[in-house]
Amino acid sequence: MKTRIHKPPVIARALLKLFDGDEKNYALTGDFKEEFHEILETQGAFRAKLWFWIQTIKSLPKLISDAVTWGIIMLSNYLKIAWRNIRKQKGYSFINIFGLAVGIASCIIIMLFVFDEVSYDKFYPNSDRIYRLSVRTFLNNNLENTAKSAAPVGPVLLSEFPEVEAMTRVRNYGFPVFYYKDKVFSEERVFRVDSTFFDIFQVKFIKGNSKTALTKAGNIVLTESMAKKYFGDEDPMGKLINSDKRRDYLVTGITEDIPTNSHFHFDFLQPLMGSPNVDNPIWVFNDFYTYIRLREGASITELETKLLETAKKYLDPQIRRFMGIGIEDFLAAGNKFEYNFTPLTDIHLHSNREFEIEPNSDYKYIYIFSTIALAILLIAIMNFVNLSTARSTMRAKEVGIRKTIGSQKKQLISQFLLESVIMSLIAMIISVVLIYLLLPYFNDLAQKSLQLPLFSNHFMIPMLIVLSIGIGFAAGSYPAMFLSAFSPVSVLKPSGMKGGNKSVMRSVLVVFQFVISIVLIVGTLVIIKQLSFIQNSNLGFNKDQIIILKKTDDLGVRVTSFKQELLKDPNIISATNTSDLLGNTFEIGGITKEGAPDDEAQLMVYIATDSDFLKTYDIKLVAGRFFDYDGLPAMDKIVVNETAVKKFGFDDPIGKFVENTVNREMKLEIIGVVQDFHFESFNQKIKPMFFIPYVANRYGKFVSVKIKPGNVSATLNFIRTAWEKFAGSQSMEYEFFDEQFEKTYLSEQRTAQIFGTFSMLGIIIACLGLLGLSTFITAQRTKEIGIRKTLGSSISQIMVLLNKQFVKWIIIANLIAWPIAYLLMTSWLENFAYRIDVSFWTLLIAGFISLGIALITVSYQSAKAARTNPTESLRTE
Amino acid sequence: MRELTKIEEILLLAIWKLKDEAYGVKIRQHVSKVINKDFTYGNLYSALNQLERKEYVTKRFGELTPVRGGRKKVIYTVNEIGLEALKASYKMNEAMWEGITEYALSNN
Repeated sequence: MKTRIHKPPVIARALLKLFDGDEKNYALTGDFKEEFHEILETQGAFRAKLWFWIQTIKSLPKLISDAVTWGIIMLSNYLKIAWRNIRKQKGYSFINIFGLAVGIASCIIIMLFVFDEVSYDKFYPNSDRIYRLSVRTFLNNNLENTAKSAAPVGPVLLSEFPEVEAMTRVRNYGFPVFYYKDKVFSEERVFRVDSTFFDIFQVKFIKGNSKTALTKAGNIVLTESMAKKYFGDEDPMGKLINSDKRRDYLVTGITEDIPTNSHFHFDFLQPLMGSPNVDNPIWVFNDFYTYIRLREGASITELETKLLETAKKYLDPQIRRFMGIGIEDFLAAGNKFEYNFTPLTDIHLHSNREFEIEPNSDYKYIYIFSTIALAILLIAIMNFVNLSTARSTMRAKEVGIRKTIGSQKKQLISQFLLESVIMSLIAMIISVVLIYLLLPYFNDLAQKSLQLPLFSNHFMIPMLIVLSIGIGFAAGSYPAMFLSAFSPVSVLKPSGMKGGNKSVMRSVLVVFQFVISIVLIVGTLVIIKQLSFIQNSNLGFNKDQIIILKKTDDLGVRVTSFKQELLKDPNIISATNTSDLLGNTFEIGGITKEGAPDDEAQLMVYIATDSDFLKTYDIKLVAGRFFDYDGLPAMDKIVVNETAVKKFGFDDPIGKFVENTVNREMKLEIIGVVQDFHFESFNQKIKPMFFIPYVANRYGKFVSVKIKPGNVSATLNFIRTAWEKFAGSQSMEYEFFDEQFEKTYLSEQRTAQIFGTFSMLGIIIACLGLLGLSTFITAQRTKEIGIRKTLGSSISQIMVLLNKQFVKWIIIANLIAWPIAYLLMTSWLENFAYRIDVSFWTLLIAGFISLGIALITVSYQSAKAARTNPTESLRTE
Repeated sequence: MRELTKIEEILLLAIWKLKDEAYGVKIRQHVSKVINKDFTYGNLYSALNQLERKEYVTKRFGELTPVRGGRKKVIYTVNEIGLEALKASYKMNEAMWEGITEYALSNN
């Protein structure tokens, strides 16, 4: 009993065990215990325990230093053997390392992309307290979800809510042409902002003072690269830059360029003061982007509610004016009016409203891309596992001999693990090189400026090393267990190992790899098909052979004569004025049936245009007529699209009257109906819309010119001459409509390309693994093939025999992958209003592609094996 | 053959003397007594491993006593090479100390 009660101290024992390493000093713990008992018998428990502790502590330094020295000796031995093994089998090592390197490189590139996407706008100081105000209205089942808000809301937020620390409004007033000396450029990223802009967006100033730069109406601030573009080496400060030959602006500040990971980039900033509509008191015209900074500790949801209460006070009389009812009645009728504050850092990934400053991304793509990164890495790791276990036959003898001469299982495991860690470290080095080579192409593809911060970020290199060790362990642990478990007796017998070509684990891994690959193939096919469906679908209009002239509003009333001048060229088929471009977001207005109550008002988008619109864009008229004047228009006539007719519920719309909610006195007669066409992005359902007559100096912004094919440059010259005649020195800006229209799908195309590229990489890595695997499997069957050939098998019979297993794997993989791919891609397609189905054919094609690629890969090996002269293969033993 | 270090010499002598009792506990106690201070197990096994690597000693398993917690004794024996080394060391010591007495040292 006594001995049971007095045991040596647990912690001390554990310490001993930890550093003694059972095998090395087998008797050490026994000695400790024996002496402990001796002291226990003679001097009592306390003395014994004390002795145990002191002895342990005194012994530890030597034990540890011995263990370390021993470890280093063993490690260098392991390393030597590992290196020999890697070099001995160059092909195998190449496939393993290269596959892993490509996998790691793809994974890191995608992760860089993902990190960049989630880093948007975080570089602004206090970015967690900056919000953008936007408005959501729901009017008679029409949703308007805009990123903009009305002019007076911002100032009210600042003056009436103490929790709002700062506010700025941002608005784009068109695209000016700037002149400085001989430099003339048309600029797109020009914004007018409140002078407090730099209080919220704390951009670094290279020159000038951020507090005063925008306090005077004639000032302008430009970015560093713009300063270079216009002024070269000159100092731009205090210089005048001319806008549209109308007005000079004084340069009062140069800022650093806005980083790419920002939801909004300006090149030029002008003060908002004195610009049109800045002091407009109307709370329902959402024309401005409003940003605020919240005081620390304040609640944004509370502010949202409070703002709506305050806003009602202002909205009430205005809604009453436009719709005849007060705000409470308006809301009671089922309409909605909401203010939303979007956190600045959420805009890029989570905001998808109308009129975003720049097209945003979508957080869904972050998930999709992260999954692909992981999938590729998994495929590469599985290659590793598969090839290592397949190669087991080659190393079975080594294991057997090592065990016979006294290797412990633990040591063998360490040896194999170390080998895979070394391979993954080499793979990591290669992948870093690959990343440096490939990033420029990827940046081009994704429109990013990603970099691998290898040295600038101190965590990067340790992180990569830890990552490769992790990958090495993940990839190496199963093979290490598998290999070290061989029993020397069975391995060293002359009959040897049959080299587990029936390994269940291997089948599972290959099937799993191909499941991933097939899902990626289906994904790529569906995306390509959907995109080509979008691009080749009948949009309801013809986008070819149209030149768009921009900023034609500068011509004022002269635009009519300009148009007449254009038509003199026989190469010009027609020309039309429009207030907006197809593919852009149109203006929106409230409209009701004649005499209908206000609460039945519909929100519809509209465009102002003239009589030649249908001819220029090849749009069909289904009833009535289009505008048929070309001088002073009849302002009380409108044309609607088919969807609008349905929305109004007219059986025979021609001759019916509707009313504009802003001005109910004026009855608008529907004179025609045009066939529905996709005037917005094809991703959206066709909305109800109407045309209003174009008035020369009120709506015009663009002239679309339909030209005959061929001889485009001569026609362009003609247009230019005509332009100069009417516009004088103002430069002509034009674009080909189809090119401009393509841009609408730019982000989808980009996504598709990135997806396609990485799917391809995934498949390549999987095939690389298959190549390695087939090499080993055929090598194992060399003798069998030789015998079969001597017995009269033909080459094709042998190839069938060898490929059978792979075909079986791919078919199983397909059966598993199809439902997964179907579900994934169907849910992706739901983002599109007009979409294709994931057809059985798509799945089948993906199946054939995977089978084809796999067969080509393995047939190389099996053909080689099948053609080998049996005398060669039978001589191997 | 290299010369023995002092600690190797002490250990080899201890093992040689202890014969069948030459295992961890006894060797440690013996050495501690000889050098007149606690010779830790850490140092003991480090040194024993060296002797083994230099092939001065061989080891075998001894009996298993209840107090050893399931670990057999490991008993060390000085082998031919070790014995040669000891002999060489003895000769050298003899030569070194020839004609010198403790008395002479303390009355210098």
